[in-house]
Amino acid sequence: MNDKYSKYETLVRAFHGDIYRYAVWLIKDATIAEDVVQETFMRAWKSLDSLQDEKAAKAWLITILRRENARRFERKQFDYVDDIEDIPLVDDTAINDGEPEQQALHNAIQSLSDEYREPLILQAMFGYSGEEIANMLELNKNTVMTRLFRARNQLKTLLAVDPLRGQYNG
Amino acid sequence: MDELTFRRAVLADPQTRDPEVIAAAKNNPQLHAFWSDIKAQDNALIKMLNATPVPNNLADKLLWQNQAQTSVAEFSPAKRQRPWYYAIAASVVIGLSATMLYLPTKDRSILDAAYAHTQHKHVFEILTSTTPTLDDINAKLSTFGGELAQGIGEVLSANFCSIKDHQSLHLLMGTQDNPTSVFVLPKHVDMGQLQEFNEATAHIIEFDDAKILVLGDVAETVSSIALQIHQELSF
Repeated sequence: MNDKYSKYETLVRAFHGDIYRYAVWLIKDATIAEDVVQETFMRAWKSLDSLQDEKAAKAWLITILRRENARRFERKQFDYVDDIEDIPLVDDTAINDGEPEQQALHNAIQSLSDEYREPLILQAMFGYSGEEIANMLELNKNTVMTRLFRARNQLKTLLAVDPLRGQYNG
Repeated sequence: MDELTFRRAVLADPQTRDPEVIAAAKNNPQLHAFWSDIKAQDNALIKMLNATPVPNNLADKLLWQNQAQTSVAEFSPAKRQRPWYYAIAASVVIGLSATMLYLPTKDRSILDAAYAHTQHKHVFEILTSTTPTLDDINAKLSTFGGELAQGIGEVLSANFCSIKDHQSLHLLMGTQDNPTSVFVLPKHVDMGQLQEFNEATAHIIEFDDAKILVLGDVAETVSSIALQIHQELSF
C-alpha cells in the first residue's frame, strides 16, 4: 500500500499544476476547476492500478478530468448547462491588465467554442500531437487537425493580426 | 505545396517541422511572414496558458484529501518528513476512533464519515481558507438543485466532497475557532435518527430534494445555523 501511496504522491506533485491549469481553461471557472481537480485525483487514486504506462500519466489524468467534468454536467442536468458557459474565468491573475494584447488573446480564447478550444489548449499547453489529442478526445486525427486549423483561424481573425507587421491591432 | 495547404498546415500546428512546410516558407517570403505571425500568436498563447496561477498548497491539499478519505480504513503511508498538520490530522483520526464507538444506529457510518471529514476540514481550513461568495455557493448548490436566497453568515469554504461514496457539498461556517459544518447530501441518503454524541451536535434537515446535515461542537451555534439553513435554503 505504501508503494501505491508513493506512486500517487509522485503523480500529484508532478502533474497537479498542469492538470489544474488545463481545468481552469477547460471549465472557465477557477473555483469549480479546483473541485473537479480534487475529484479527478481521488478517482485517479481509486484507479491507480490501471495506470500501467507512467509516461502516459498526464494523458491519463486529462482523460479522467474530462470524464469528471462531464459528470458534473450530468449532475447539473439541463437547466445549468447553458448558464455555465456564461461564467467568466474567475481567476484572471494570469492576465496582465496593462497589456491589451494579452487581454485580447484571453478573450479570444474564451470566445472559442469548446470543440475548438479544447484541442487548441491540449496542443499549446502540453505540446500534444494531433494523434495524441485525437486519442484523448476520441476523435480521428483529421478532425482534430481541422479543429486546430479553425481554432487558430478564428483566433487570427479575432485578434486581427496584421500579416505585414505581425502585430495585434485589437 | 500550394498556399492553401501551407496555411492549413501552419494554422493546425505552428510548431510543425514538416520539410514541405519549411521548404515552402523558404521559397516564399509572404508565406514565411504568415508563418512568423502565427508562430508569434502561438507563442503568446503558450505563454498565457502556462502562466495560469496554481493555488498555493494544491498538491498538499490533494494529498491531504486523499489521506482524509482513505487513511483510517485503507492505508498507512510510509513514515517520512511531512508538514506539521499531518501530525494533527493523525491525532484527530485516532481521537475520533474512540468517539465513534458511542454512535448507536445502523446508519452511523454516514455520520462517522461526515464527522471525520469535518474534523479534517477544520484543521485544513485554518491553513488555507478561501471565502466563497454567495454566487459561488449557489453555483455549487445548483448541482443539488438548491439555492440560497441570501447570505447565511460567515462561510469559510464550500467544497464538494465524498461522504461514504455519496457526493456532498461541504460548507464550513462560523469562525475558525468555532466552525460548524453543513453537508448537503442527496435525498436518498439514509442518515438515521437525529444524533448527538460527545461534544458534537448533529442536526438533520430534510428537504424534498436533498438532506442537510449540520455538525458542530456548540449546540446553540448548530441550532442557529440549522434554523438559518431551513429559512434561507430552498430546493
